[in-house]
Amino acid sequence: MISAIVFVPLFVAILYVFIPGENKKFFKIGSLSTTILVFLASLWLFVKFNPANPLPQFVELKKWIGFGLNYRVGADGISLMLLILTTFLMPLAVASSWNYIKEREKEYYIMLLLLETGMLGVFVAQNLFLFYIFWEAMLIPMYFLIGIWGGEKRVYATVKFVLYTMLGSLLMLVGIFYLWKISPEHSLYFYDLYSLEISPSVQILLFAAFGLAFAIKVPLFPFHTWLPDAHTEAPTAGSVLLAGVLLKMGGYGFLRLAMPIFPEGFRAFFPYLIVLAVISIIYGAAMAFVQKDAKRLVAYSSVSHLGVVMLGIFILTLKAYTGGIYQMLNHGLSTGALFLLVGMIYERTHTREMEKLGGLARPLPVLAGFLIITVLSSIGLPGLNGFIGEFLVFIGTFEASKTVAAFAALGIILSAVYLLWMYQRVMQGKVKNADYMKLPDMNLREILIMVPIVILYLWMGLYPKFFISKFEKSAKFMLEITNKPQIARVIQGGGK
Amino acid sequence: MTGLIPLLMLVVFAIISLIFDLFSLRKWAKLSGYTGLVASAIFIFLLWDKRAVYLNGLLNLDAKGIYASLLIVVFTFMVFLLSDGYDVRIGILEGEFYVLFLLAAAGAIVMVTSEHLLVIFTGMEILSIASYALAGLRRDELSNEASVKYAILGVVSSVFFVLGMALYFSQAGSLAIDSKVIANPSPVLISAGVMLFAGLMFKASLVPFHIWTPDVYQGSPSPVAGFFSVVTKIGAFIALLRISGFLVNPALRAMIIGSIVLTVIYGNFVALKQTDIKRLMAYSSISHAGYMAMALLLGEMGGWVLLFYLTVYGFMNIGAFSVISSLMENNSIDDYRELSKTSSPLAAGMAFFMISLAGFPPTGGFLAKFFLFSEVGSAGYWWLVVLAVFTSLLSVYYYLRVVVYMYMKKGEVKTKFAYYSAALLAMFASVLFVLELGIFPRTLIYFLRIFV
Repeated sequence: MISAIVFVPLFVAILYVFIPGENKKFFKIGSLSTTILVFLASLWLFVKFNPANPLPQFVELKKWIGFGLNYRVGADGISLMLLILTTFLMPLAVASSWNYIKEREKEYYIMLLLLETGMLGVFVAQNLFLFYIFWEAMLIPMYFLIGIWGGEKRVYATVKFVLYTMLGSLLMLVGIFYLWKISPEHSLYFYDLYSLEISPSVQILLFAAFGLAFAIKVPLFPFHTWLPDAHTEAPTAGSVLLAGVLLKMGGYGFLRLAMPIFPEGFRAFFPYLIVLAVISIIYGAAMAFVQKDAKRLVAYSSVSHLGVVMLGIFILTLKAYTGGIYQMLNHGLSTGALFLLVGMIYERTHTREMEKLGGLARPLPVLAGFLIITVLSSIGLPGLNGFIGEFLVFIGTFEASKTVAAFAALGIILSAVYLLWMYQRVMQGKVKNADYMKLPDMNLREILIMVPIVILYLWMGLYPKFFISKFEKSAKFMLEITNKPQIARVIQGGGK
Repeated sequence: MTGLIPLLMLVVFAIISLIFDLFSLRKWAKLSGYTGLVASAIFIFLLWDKRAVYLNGLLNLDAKGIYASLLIVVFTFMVFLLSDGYDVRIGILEGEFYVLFLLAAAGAIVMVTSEHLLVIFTGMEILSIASYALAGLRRDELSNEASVKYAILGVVSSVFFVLGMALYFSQAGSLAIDSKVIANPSPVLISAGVMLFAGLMFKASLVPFHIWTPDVYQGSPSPVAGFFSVVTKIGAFIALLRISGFLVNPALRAMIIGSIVLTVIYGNFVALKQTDIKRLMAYSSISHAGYMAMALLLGEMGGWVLLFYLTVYGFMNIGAFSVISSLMENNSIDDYRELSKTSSPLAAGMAFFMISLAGFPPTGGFLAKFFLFSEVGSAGYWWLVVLAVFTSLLSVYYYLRVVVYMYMKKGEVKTKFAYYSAALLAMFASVLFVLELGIFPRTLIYFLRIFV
């Protein structure tokens, strides 16, 4: 079932190759129905999933190349939630491209579907080799999405994005060679790797190699410089998926691979990582303050919010860890929605400069309503989803270190300020341009994109247990492996 | 005699082709070339069960040799497909075009199926002399320059090789490669090793013997450049593998490692600045040669990784050159601007090969690097692997630059061209093979690991 979910988009994309490009409607409807179908299938997994079992479920194991390079997929609670986040965002991304993409529709939808396969594959792979294949393969469609359908400086942005990501992943690749050679029977199965005994000095090197790859992807300060460019230049759907899913892969990589496989290495870097996470929170917020471009502001807010996610994961208390994972899902929703809304504003006004905008709430009341609730979700208003995640992260951090918690909280206060300020500059005040009074408000398609997101804000904010219960066992288990590597040795093989 | 049949097929059909050409029967001449290749491939298959040493040790048809011969024939066949149509358009009307390819392929086969220095040398010369002629066939200034440059530098490399042979003979009393003699660390044998390596490194275009590569690729007709980048490399690398026993000697090992380091750095850095697609491919082939030479450090163990790499690399390069040939001689990268609009299959194919050459999964280019680098790493050369990996990051930049021009730069479309079914056929076949080798390489890897 998991394989079907992962590869259906790929097959549809291959099918598209043989269909002439003139049938624009076909590609749109086909992609929308494919992504919705994949989403429904993943819901089925969600229902079937047994939350009491912390190990990967729905496991499929096939001999592939041999020598430990096997095809093994499965999903534990954490993977499952990220999988559903991806499949949930995909139809929205397709729908948001409906009128925005006006050239080369065929190639565009092929790339989107290929991207979906890549993203899903990263989350369900249980073999390090397979993980790496998806991790790298996903770069190509993103490269084209930004490079062909992006804004003015798209070529610069996309090449920077690819080179930065490659820089990290190539060192990780060397690490994979090493693990492949030392692991018994050349197994690259995650749970076999958890029980490897690697000398601490080597662990430090390997953690650095893996950590760099993931830190660039998250991105943690100072590896974040690719992100504002990529985000700003990407088409709306690209930004949504970049923020919603791709950035999560960095955090996922840390918690699934870098930390549990090299616990000693992680311990050595622990203080620096905490500092980097806190700097990311504050630096991202400070940079967001001074942005003039609304999309760039949201991009920097991403850096700040992911700092919170990473802080939660790094601090190694169960509450913060769970909160960090929950916050990944929240960030995927609310930042994804922010990009969608900024994209909708851009489609109408053809500018993202906040100075030129203003007073848009009058012609666009519905859009303003969606924007304010998204902003509130993003800054963690109690009752909405963002609050739960941040709250858990902060309680957990507070347990571990009051100083760190204090600094991090500062960033959260800042985020409330700059996001509300952005709302104010865009939606309130005088209308700067008389033409803007005639702008059409959100149409049915756009409302239908936003409604499911808003429902989830409320659902995840008011009844978080429904979601957290799905992954808390897995989170606890991963945390235990990271804290005490020997546990994995006892349970080894249980996940087969 | 049996062992010679594939070679004889190539030579006999080359002669038949010449006779047809004498009566201006172009079509028949070409057909006879194709037939020669197919017949040779069939006999190579048949020889698989008769792997042995032939002609008193002059020919050694082992698994490596047979597999490499098959690669040579297959890639020559694909080069024929690239040339089909290209030759008429560009004005190469001589039937020798195909004859020379057949002879060069025969030379390459001799090179890979022998463990006798004299025979290797003979093969190298047959390949080289045919190559010099091929490089000059376009008959403009660039092409002439390529031919002359290639010939002069090629002769120098032959001299190195012959000198190496002489020194080797003085110690071993024979020209057969003998691992016991090779292991002997006498100064004369070390010099012999240096000379022999230098001769072959020239053909493989490893730094510092790479100087001819960009000019010759640029000047030669595109299918010929494709041939040089693939078939010549196969010949050179298999021959290098056969004499890689010399590398037990630390001095020689240091020399080849030094050459690898220089090659991967030089090739990738200089490629960054190229504006001509064929020069870009030349520097790309130099850097790939650097990676492949890493396999030599593994000794016999390196055989299968090297052959796997050569297979993948061959398909990627032939594929890229099929696109380059289809664009005739519009070789500035700027000519590729908006190619995705004017000819989307060619642009998609080129993008695919660039991505594969850069080593992205799930293409064969990734797996080739994966196996090569992991083997070299586990042999203890982790620093070399890190260097290789970082230089291949540079390669991502220049390969993707071609894609940027084809897909992302807006502007005036400069190139108008027609494409030829035969070259497209080679392109599609290459795409399929590169994907196949990237996704389902299991059969081939098992085969190579067991037999090579």
